[in-house]
Amino acid sequence: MSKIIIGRYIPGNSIIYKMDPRGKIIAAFFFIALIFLANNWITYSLITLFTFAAVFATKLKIKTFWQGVRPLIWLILFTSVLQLFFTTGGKVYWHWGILNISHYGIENSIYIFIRFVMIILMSTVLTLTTTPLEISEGMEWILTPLKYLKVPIGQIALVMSIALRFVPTLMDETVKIMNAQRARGADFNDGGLVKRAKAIIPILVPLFINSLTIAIDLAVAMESRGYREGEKRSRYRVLKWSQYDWINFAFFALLTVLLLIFRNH
Amino acid sequence: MTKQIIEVENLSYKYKDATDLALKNISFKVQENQWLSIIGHNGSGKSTLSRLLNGLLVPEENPDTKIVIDGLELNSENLWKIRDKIGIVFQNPDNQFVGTNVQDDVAFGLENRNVPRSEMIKRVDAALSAVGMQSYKNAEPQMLSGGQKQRVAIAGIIAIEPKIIILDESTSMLDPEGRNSILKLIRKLQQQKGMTVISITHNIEETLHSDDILVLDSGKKVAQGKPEKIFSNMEMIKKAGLGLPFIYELKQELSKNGVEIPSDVSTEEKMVEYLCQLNSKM
Amino acid sequence: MSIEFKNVNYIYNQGTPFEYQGLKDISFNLTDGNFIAIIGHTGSGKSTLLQHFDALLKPTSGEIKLAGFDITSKTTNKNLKSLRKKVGIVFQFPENQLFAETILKDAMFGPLNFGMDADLAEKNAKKWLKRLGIKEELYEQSPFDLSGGQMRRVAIAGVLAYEPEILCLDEPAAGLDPVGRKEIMSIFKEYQKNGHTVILITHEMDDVAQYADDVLVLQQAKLIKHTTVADLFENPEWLAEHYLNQPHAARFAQTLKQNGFKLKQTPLTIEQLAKSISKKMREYNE
Repeated sequence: MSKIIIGRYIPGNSIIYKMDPRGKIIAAFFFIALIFLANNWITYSLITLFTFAAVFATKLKIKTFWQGVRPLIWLILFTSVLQLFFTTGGKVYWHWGILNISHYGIENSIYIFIRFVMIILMSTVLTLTTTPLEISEGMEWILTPLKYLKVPIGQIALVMSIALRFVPTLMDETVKIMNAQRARGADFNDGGLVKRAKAIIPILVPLFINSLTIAIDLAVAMESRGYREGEKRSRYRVLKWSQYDWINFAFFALLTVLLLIFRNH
Repeated sequence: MTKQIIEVENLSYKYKDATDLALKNISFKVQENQWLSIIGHNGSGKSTLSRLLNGLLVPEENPDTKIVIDGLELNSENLWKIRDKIGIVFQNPDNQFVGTNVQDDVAFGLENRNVPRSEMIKRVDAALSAVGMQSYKNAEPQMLSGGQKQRVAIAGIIAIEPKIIILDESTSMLDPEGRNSILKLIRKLQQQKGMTVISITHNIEETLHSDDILVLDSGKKVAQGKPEKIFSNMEMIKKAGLGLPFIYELKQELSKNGVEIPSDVSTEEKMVEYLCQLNSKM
Repeated sequence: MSIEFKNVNYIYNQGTPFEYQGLKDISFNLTDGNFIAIIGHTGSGKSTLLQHFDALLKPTSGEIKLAGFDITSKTTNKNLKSLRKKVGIVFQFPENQLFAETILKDAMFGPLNFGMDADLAEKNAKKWLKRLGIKEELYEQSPFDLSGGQMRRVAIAGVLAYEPEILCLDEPAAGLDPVGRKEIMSIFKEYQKNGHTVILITHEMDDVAQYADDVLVLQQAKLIKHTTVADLFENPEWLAEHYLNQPHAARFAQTLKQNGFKLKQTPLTIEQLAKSISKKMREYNE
């Protein structure tokens, strides 16, 4: 479980860590749009180079990124292979029934492969270098316009931040409960589907009860610390743009210009 | 002249679906800057009392019931003013940690009171240095020990500058080291800031240093007074399901061995002094 | 037979950026039938060590021999049930593990998992619920209606109900009032005296002095001392160096000594302290 890397934050202090989460999120979405500008060898190479530059700039181990891609690699290969066999056009190298390998097919399957891998790598750059809380705060800022539609953005953000705050606590709690029941002879990997489903009850019930206790305790603590629903609250955490974000945007602007120049028109 | 800061009269409380009252007609007073310990066995109603004082629970309907905090009577109008005057440190260090990191958590109460950000930064810094946690500003809760989390909870409270701090079994989940450091910290704050302390506790040893002790047994107040007075009444302590502090247990054991110690020898320091004096005479 | 740890290392999250060492080269031999205390500061590895007794964690390297089992990094999860039947663990705040609809069913969960037939499981569960002071009329009620202290007792009964040869306890009395604490601790002491091994993690030196025979002291994942209780507390300088306390009675005797009132032996309990004070006074009077 601890080996899954997607969505995980790893502390570090390279330049990407210093960028504002709002800028990073916008950049990550923008990157996905940019990828669709690429339509030839040069532009795909540019995208690949740019992504690898970002990966290296995190100063994290390359292995960590590979762990991010690995769980999806079969899905990506499968999609690429479909492209390979079903795309027609250009010179045909091989042909059998509805299957064929053509020039376009080879090209397309490689492009698709690059596209997928680069999107995963870039979003891994985002999640590895940005805490879930920062992502949630960045999203809150991006969604601020919804306030005018009477969406309680402030409260949703508070709920999100508390939920994120308690993820490690509940993970710990789950491990403790599983250990306690294992020690009492519970077996979670044995028997058929029904037996296994039943074996989960001794974990789920205490987990549910304990979460409820936490929720009640937390509500009591929040109220006694002066929290009133719907009242105006000031903000301690603020996001600040810095020179690193201009660097971020400058690189993306450069990439956009290069893609526009070198793509096939 | 000390000022009376808490006045409670005829307070009763019953939980929904319960048959018995959790608290039965409790009355007591607390003077400003005093340390009151509330003791009683598990389930004697101690924590219920703390939650009634700041309006988290609403007492049983009774015209004679009165809760006055620092001159303000507790009612729906004054509720939030009273919550500015009382800070509670709860038992479970994890379940009261609202912020994602230390400084966010300290700021939570200030955010709720819509304090401007520039003011918040000053107050958070001051509160964190008062509890000795300034170097942990950015630490996340899972990286802190229980004692450190309770320090952060205390910082969050003193940032609001309340007059009363209630420790609701705040040290019962800590190791002895954490427990002692929290008590020392509270004692320091009590003196520096002139705060009134109400400590709800099982830790009998800790109550020896308090000005006043209130004993609860099955929701009833059975005694209130200075530690010497409370612990000399062994019958009552035993009936309330409580243990004795070390020094009183020692006196009891000595008496079993035929050594009687005068009743005014009521702390360990006095006992050492007394025994050594005897020793030098012998 | 005994409990043997040989060069046991344990590494958490091996091969990830979150890797750290939980146990470092731990070796010791415990005699069966003893009451052993494990002490050390928060984060010193006590709980990690405890989970090895039950193979909830398996050593990254090294070997453990207990209750007729060999546990190494290669031990598979098969056949662990018979080990866990012999080694019971009461975790910290065990009330958080209750789940069944009734108190009795919860206490029977362990015995049934370990293959006891329903009649015997019920008999054992009832015996231990009773021993822990849970009234019979409550057996068919939900454990979640009990107070925290009573829930703790039900959880403990649920472990004792399969009468493990080795009983491991992780601060079983934390947060209980003094009377409840004494009651529960004396039940464990009695269990040991009836021919079982009890291993107790605690921060309370008074409990160590009163109940334990041997002590393991952990510090930063290493075993720094394995000795008898009397020997441990005979050495206040060593304890102070490692930020560990003496029992209250010994601390008091220390203060007396510093003020010129010397006792022959370091008292570990209040009874011993009172005895040696009165003895000394009688000697003078005679």
